Amino acid sequence: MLDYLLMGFQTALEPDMLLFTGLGVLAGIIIGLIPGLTITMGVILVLPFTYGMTPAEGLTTMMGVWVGGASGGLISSCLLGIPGKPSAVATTFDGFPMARNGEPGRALGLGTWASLFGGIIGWFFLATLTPLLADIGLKFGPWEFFSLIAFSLTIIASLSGESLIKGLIAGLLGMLLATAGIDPMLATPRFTMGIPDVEAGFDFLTVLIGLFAFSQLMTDLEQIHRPEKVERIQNPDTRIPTLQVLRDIWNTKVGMIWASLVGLWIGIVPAAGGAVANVLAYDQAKKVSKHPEKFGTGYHEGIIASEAGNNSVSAGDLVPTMALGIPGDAVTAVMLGALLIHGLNPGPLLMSTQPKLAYGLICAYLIATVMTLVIQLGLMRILVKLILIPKEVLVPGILVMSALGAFVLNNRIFDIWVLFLFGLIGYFLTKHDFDLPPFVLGFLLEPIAEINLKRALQTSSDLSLFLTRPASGFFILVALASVLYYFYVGWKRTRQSAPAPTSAEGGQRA
Amino acid sequence: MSDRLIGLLLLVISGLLYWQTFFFKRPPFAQFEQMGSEFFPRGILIGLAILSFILLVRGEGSLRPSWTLDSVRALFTRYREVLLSLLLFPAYALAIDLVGFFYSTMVYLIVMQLMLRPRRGRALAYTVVGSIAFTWGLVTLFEGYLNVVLPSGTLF
Repeated sequence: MLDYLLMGFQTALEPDMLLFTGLGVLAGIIIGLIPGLTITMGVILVLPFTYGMTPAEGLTTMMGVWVGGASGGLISSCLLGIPGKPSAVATTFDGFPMARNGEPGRALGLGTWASLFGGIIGWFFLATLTPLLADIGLKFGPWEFFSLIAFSLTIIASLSGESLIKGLIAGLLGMLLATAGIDPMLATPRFTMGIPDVEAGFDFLTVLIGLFAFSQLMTDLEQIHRPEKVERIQNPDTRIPTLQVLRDIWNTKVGMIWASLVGLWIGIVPAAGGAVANVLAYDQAKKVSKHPEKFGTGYHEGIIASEAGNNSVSAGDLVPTMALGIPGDAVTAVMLGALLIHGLNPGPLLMSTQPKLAYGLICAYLIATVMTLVIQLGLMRILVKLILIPKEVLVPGILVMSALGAFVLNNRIFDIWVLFLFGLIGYFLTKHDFDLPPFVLGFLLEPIAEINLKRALQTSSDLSLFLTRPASGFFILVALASVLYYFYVGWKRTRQSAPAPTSAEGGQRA
Repeated sequence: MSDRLIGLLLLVISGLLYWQTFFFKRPPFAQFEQMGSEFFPRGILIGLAILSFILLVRGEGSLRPSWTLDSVRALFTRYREVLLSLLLFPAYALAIDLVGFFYSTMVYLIVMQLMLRPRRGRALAYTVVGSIAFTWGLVTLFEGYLNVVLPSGTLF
C-alpha cells in the first residue's frame, strides 16, 4: 500500500495538479465563507470548468473545492455569527463570542489549524480504510450490491430528515425519475413521453445542478429583502497569534482527536454529513472536556472540536465512495458523477484498475488540507472582505453558471430545461420538508440497483439468498434495524410528550 | 400544499405511471425474458404508492386547499422574487436558443439584478458594465481556453 501511496503523491504533487488543487481550494474557501452558498453548489459550479481537464486534474480541483469549502465556513461563523455552511454551525457557538471578546484572529486561527489537524487525522483513515473496504467490495456479488443500495437508501432516509416516510418517498421518486430513458439491459424506452431527448435519460449532473444549485437559489431569493440581524465584527484584527493557537491546540489534543474520530465515523455512515458531524463532535468534546461549562462562551476547545470534526467528515465520506462506489452525501455523489463524465467506473474495481488516479485523489485530499491552511492564513485579510457580497449580484451569476454547466455537459439546450425541471422539483420538495439527499442517492443508484437485482434473480430465483449470504444479510438487517430504531425513537418521543394522566383518570383506568 | 394532498397527488401519479408501464415495447430478442423493462419501475411504483397512501392517511393538513384571494395575494408578495425568477429563467433558456449565449446572458444578468434591486445612475452603470464583463469573461474562458462552443443562436 505504501508503494501506491508514494505513486499517489507523485501524481498529486505534479505542478499542474498542485495549481488546480490550489485554485480549487481558493474557490472552495470563497464559496464556503459566503453564507447561503453550499459546498455541494460550489463543487457543482466548478464542474463545468473541469470538462476540458484530465480526470485526475478535474477531480483534484473538485477535491480542493470540497476541502476548502469545509474550512471556509468558519470565517463567517466567527466574524458574523452566521455559519457559512451548515457544517460550521457549532463553530459559531464559540467562534463568534471569542471574536466579539476582542480575539477574532485567535478564533480564525484556531478554526484554521484545527481544520488542518482534523483533515490529517481523517486522511490517515481514508488512506488505510479505503483499500481494505475495496478488497471486501471485490468479493461482493449482485445480492450484496443490491442490499448495500437498499441499506444506504434506508439509512439516508431515516437519518437525513424529520420523516422516514418522506425520506423514503424522496428516495423512490429519485429512482423513478432515473428510470426515464432507455432501459440499460433491454434497450426499451421507458417514460419518455414521446420526447426524443428523454431517451438518453436525464443526465445525473444536470439533475444535481437543478436540485442543489437552482432550488437553493430560489430559497435564498425568498429572504433577499428580509433584513438579517447581523452583528458583524467591525474591522476585525485578523492577525493570527500562531504560537498561542498551537499551544491551545496542543492542550486540547485529546478532545480534538476524539472530535475528528466522531466526524470520520459520521462521514463513513451514509447520510449524516458535516452538518451533523460538527454538532456531534462539539457535543462529544464538551463531554470529555475538563471545563464543559466554558463551552459557548468563546472557549477554544469548542472551535477546535467543531472544525476538526467537520473536516475529518469529508475523509470519512470518501471512504465508501471510493471503495464501493456508494456516495455518502450529495458532494460525494457529484464526485461520482464527475468520475463517470471522465469515463471512469466508480466501484470496488477503481482502486485496483486505476490505482494512480485513486491514490492520487487520496493524496490530493491531504495536499488540499495543507493548502487550505496556507491560503486561509495568507489571504485572511482579503477573504474577510468577501463575506458580504450582496445576494442580488450572486444569485443571477450563479444561475447563469448553472445554465452553462448544464449546457456544456452535452452541448444541448435541452439540459437547461432539465435543470429547470429538477430545480422546480427540488424547490417543491424542500418547501414541503422532503429531504434532497435520499432523492439524489435514489437517482444515482437506480441503474446499479436495477442491474444487480436482475442479475441476482437471473442467477437464482431463490430470494432467501439476499438474507443468507452474510454481507447481504448484514446490510438488510441493519436497514431493517434503522427503520425499527426510527419508529422506536418516534414512539418514545410521543410517550414522553403525552400529558401525564390525572389522578382521577388514573383511578378510572385502574 | 398539505402532506395529505401531496400523498394523494403521488398516489395518482403512481397509478398513471404504473398504467404506462403496460405500454413499454419489448424488443424481439426479449419477448421471452421473465423480467422485462417494466419489472423494476413497477417495483418502485408499488413502493411509492404504498408510502403515498401512508402519507395520505397519516399526513398532516387537509385535503381541501384553503386558498382565499388574500392568501394568494400574500403568497405572491412573499414569493415575488422567486416567481419572477421562475418566469425569467425559461425566458433565458429560450433566448439562449434564439439569440445565443452572449446576448441572452448579458441581458438576463442585467434584468435579474435590476429586478432584485432597482438601481439608477452610477449603480446602474456598474451593473451593466459588470454584467457585460462577466459574460465576456465566461465566453472567453469557455470558448478560448476550454474549447467549448457556446450557442450562437438560431436567429443569427
